[in-house]
Amino acid sequence: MSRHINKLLATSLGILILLFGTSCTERIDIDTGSTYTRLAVEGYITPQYDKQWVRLTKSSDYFSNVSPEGVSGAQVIVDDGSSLATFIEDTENPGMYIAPDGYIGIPNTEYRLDIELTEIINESKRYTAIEKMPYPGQEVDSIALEYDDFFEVWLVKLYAQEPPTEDYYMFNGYVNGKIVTDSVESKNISDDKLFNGNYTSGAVVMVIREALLKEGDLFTMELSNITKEYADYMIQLQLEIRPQDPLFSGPPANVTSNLDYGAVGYFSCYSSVFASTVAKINPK
Amino acid sequence: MKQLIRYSFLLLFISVCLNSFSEDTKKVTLAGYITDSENGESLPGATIIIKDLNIGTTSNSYGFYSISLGPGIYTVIYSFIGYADQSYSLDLTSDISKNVEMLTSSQQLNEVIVSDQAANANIKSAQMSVNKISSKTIQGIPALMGEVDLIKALQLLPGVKFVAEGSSGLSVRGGSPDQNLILLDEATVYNAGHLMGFFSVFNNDAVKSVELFKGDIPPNYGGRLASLIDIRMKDGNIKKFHGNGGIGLISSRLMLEGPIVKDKASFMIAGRRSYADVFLRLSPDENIRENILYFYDLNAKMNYNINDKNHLFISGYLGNDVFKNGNFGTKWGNSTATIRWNHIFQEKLFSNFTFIYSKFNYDLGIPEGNENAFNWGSTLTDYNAKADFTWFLNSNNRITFGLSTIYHNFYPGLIEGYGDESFITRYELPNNYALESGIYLGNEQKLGTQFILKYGVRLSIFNNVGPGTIFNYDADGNPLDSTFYESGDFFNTYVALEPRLGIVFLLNETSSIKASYSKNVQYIQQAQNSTAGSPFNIWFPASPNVKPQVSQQVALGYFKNFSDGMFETSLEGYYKSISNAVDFRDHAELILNKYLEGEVLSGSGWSYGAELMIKKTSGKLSGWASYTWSKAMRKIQGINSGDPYRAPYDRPNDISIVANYNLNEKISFGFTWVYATGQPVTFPVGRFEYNNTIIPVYTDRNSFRMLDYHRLDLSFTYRFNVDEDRKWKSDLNFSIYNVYNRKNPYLISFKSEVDNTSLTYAEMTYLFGILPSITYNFKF
Repeated sequence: MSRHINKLLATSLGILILLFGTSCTERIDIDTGSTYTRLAVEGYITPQYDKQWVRLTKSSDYFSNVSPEGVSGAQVIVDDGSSLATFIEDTENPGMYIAPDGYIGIPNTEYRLDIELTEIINESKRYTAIEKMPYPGQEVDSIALEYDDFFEVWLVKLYAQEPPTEDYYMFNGYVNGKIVTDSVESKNISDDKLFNGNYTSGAVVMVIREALLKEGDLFTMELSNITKEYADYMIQLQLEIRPQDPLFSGPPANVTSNLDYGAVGYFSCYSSVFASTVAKINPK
Repeated sequence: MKQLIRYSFLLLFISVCLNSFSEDTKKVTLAGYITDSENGESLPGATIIIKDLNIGTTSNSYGFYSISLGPGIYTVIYSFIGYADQSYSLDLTSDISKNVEMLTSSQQLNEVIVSDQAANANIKSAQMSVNKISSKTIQGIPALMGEVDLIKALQLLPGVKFVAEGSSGLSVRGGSPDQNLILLDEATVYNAGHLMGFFSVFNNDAVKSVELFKGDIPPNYGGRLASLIDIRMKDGNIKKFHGNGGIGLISSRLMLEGPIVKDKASFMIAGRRSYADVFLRLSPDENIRENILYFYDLNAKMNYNINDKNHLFISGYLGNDVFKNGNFGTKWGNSTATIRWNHIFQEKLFSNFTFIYSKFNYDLGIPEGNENAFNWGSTLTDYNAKADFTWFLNSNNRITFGLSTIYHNFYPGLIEGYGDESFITRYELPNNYALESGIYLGNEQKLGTQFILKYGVRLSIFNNVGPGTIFNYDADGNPLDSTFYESGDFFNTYVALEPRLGIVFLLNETSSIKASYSKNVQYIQQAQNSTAGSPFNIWFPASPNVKPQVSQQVALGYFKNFSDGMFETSLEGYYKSISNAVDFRDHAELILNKYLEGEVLSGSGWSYGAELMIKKTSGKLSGWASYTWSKAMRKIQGINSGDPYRAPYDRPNDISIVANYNLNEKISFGFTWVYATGQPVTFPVGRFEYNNTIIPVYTDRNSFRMLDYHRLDLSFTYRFNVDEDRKWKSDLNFSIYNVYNRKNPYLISFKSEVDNTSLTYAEMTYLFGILPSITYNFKF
């Protein structure tokens, strides 16, 4: 939440600069050199049938400007303490490893991801991550959409009782069943520091651009209970992809991963609740 | 080090003893105040010479001087730069009080040759690493958007860097902005910036002078590592009523001053307000019209000359920035109040008792009627009492001593929802309290005709005082448990001895070599990890978890004047080391975090450099040119894999050229050119993909640099009615900021193409292109 305030401040700074500066941008050429290759992991275990996968890619130089190279042939095993599941590489999508049919995650279970590569990346062939899937959050009573004509966006308002425990949330949005928040910056990550145990009574939890959501569309909000570590990871990602301004941004730094041996990325396990509504202009 | 301290004490002791033994009981004292004849403002640093004995002294920061001599008839010469010498033949048979009113050179009918004594005061002063600028000089420097700015003038001095384009923050000899002690009439100003720091809070019309001490801080001040910025407000014209003001693009201002009782009491009041919101109201868009955005400040001072032995000054500052609309509002500002009482116990013992109140606070929130309506406030309040004494023992020794104590009240943050609809819960960061005290003793001693020593020591004591909650942390900064301390419980104490030493070796009348050593300890600091910072970065104290930061600086300099002091040149080298240097963990959460101390990392820092300055003090063309070569590094476990990295303000080459040319009485020109090596930055070297987003991978902290910074500013001033005998005088000032439209990077961001996220590029944002402005100034 406090980081959201920081974002709010940075936005107000933007207004100030607009008012006083003759601020301009231009593309520049910079050579930032090169660095060794790291293993990048993006993995998910959830209670939903369609979303348990692990993607392995190689990091590259910043200006390499090619799609990341998948890491093929690895052995990818997920251990839930009682059984092992071997994830199978998608033959059409190198580096993408998918859970066996029918495999779903169970809340309050600790998952261990074991990766064994066929070749050494950054001095290691084996990588591990451990993550515990939190309990799902309380049921959502409802959500509402409100159109803001100044910013030309939809505000997603949440009605739910927030539990008294320390919780971390991730919000995703779907329009007619298709995700519209499939990038780091479009998700909303929040702790409950400033509303712990309260009824949210219509708090704005997401902002959806008008271009993505039209009147009459069905909007679905996914509210995921995530671990503090994953919330920190996602917030750090969001900080790192934002411009570093001299007033509010700290020094750039590498994002903390839950993988060992210097791998980057994250193996996350979370559960979600969903709520839907149909977009209508000024439903007030 | 301990030996050095012992040695300095011994020296002081011996000198005082020797002096008291040799003290001739028949000696008489000549003492008094030196002021400007036109407005009665005191003149600190004026020179008093007993011609017959070739000895002398200088006036202190209140314009008071005192010198002891054997009885006799003497020729006494009073001099001060920019003023005509005054010479008196005085028959000293008993103690004499002699107040002198100096006339500016221009007030004299005949051309006056400024004496060598006044002109070469910089050569003989035991103080080094110091720069003084008058408000008149600051006025002559071309200003961003026409807003004359004292802090931006300081940024042009050698060893001083700006922290970001347009920012009123400064870094002195590699230090952070929070390592500067900024005093306005002795009151600490915790946030010196208006409008997110683009303008400083100091209204130049209300300022008499500013003095910058770069690390070599006199023992009567303490609490910061890098510098002391001592800003003195005008006392108010004690002779006649007078006013000045101006209308600019950003703000308008008005200053009034005059006698309450002529030659006895005076006042000064100055106000300034910006009017961006006035323009916003002209917008056709209702949502823009409803934005309120302004800053204001108010300076006021009263000065009462009770009698020759007692003088009272009361001064205050109040300033705020306000920005709000229907969705969001924020306000921040400083307020200070200072009461000073100068008392002369006897002609040799000058004292000053000061009571100071200083507050910085901000509020931020979403207004009532919104579901997430909240208010978040943070306040830092200081109550400070000081007693300072100057004992003019004899013409060779000037002893200073005194004590000071500050009671700090930190209310770092409280956030509360309000209104029926708000779902925001109350969240409070624990308040804490501290006492920061200092006792000091120093002497400035002349040894023969060639040596001047200054030696002193400050004993600083810092106490964390209950009520307070201290969290205990593991090695990764995660909170484990907490300890609560009752009200009045002095639960943690730090004590430090801070020696401040200096020596001058006079080669001749116009050149000298100076050396100094100083140790400074800083007990409170700002939670800031961005380069320029924002008003929302709170201050937090040393505690059981956070050790005080300590710096030690040695400096050596050569000073030489030419052409009767018209040119002053100096070359200084310094080395500074910092222990317990504070920095923060990667991705630290510094705002609204109960566990802020868990984000603090501590390590070491060092900086060194050479500063060359050539200054022309008089004539049609005046100004200075300076070149600084410097390095500033840090080494902190937990940052950059524990390897040394460049401090954020490490900019090795730095040039400033500041010139003011008075073509005639009507027309003058201002010229400023600055150059600085690009700011150190961390750029991504590698990347990976996560959730369809390119994520940067970094290697070493601050291993890249932005493009070099350079900029030319020009100004042209035309004065009306100069020849006429009219009271109302005015001028028009045209300034151009960044004349050749240099694109100096403000920030560099790394982005992906919208249609193909695999394609990345770098984009530079620059704030100010060529930017003309016009200001109308008047005085009466």
